[in-house]
Amino acid sequence: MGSAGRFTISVAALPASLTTANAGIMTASRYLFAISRDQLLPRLFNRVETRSKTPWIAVLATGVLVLVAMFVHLEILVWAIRDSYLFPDGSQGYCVQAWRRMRPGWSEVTAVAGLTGPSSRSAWGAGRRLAGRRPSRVCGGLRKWHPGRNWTMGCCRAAEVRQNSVSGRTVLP
Amino acid sequence: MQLAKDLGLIHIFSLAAGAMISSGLFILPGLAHARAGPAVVLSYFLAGLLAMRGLLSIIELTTAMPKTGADHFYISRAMGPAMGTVAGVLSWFSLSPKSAFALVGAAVLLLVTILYTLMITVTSGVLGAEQLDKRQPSWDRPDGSPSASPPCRLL
Repeated sequence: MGSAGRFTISVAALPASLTTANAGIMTASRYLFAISRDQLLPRLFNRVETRSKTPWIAVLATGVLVLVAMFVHLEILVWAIRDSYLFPDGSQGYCVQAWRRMRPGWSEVTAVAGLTGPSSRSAWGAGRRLAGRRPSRVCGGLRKWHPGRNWTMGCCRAAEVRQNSVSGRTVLP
Repeated sequence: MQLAKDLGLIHIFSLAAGAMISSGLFILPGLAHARAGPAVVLSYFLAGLLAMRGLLSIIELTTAMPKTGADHFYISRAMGPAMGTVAGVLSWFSLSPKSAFALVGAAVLLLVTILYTLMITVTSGVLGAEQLDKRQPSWDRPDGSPSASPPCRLL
């Protein structure tokens, strides 16, 4: 491509990298905010600025971590990014299965796609029937020994998560 | 106090597209093509299938529970607050270095490529184009000395 092509690609890639950094800081700070809202981190991170309504202390803390991470060797950084996301990613898959088993047809998107519900005739439903009752049994075990048992799914079903009988939409507190 | 929740479809789309389009689109396909050759299309298809699995999970959870702190919220409600906190902190710890990675990439792009090209352009304006043709950028040298352009190795 030559020098002109390299210049063009670089000019296109520069704002792309900047928006990635922006979105990363925006989303990462909300994790701190949410953990603090559930009273599992100091209440400091739950502070919301009055005018713009943004969690500015969480954003600031995320910015400090970003600044520190910029001076780490890049291969270590990539390794840390990849490996630390394995647990949340796997747990999300577990959550989908567990929530589906708890309340079939709870999500409108997959209900439309025909993926959920015990009456589903798709291969997905057959696979779920083959899988047996294991997720709920695991959930029951967790509920039994876990100290914060009013957080877990059994009580979500009772108190927190209701389903609107008219629209079928899941209602959250 | 509640957060301001006024992002619409176009805002979320712009945010997600801006977050995804970065070094993964501009740099990594070249590296993958250098190793896999034309089969890079197949490898991207397989990687897309793997990514689709996570995407479907996220879609289902997010449309049903649009709450702040995605992973932490779902996992703490399904597996208990301990697991939820671990997942939330790990997600925070994996998203913030991604910003740092993008910022380092932007700095390298700005310094190495754009400033270098501008410098060449200005120099060619001063010296004349016949001087420029004899020059070669350090990364295009036939002997391929890697120490000539250390910042390029970052990419």
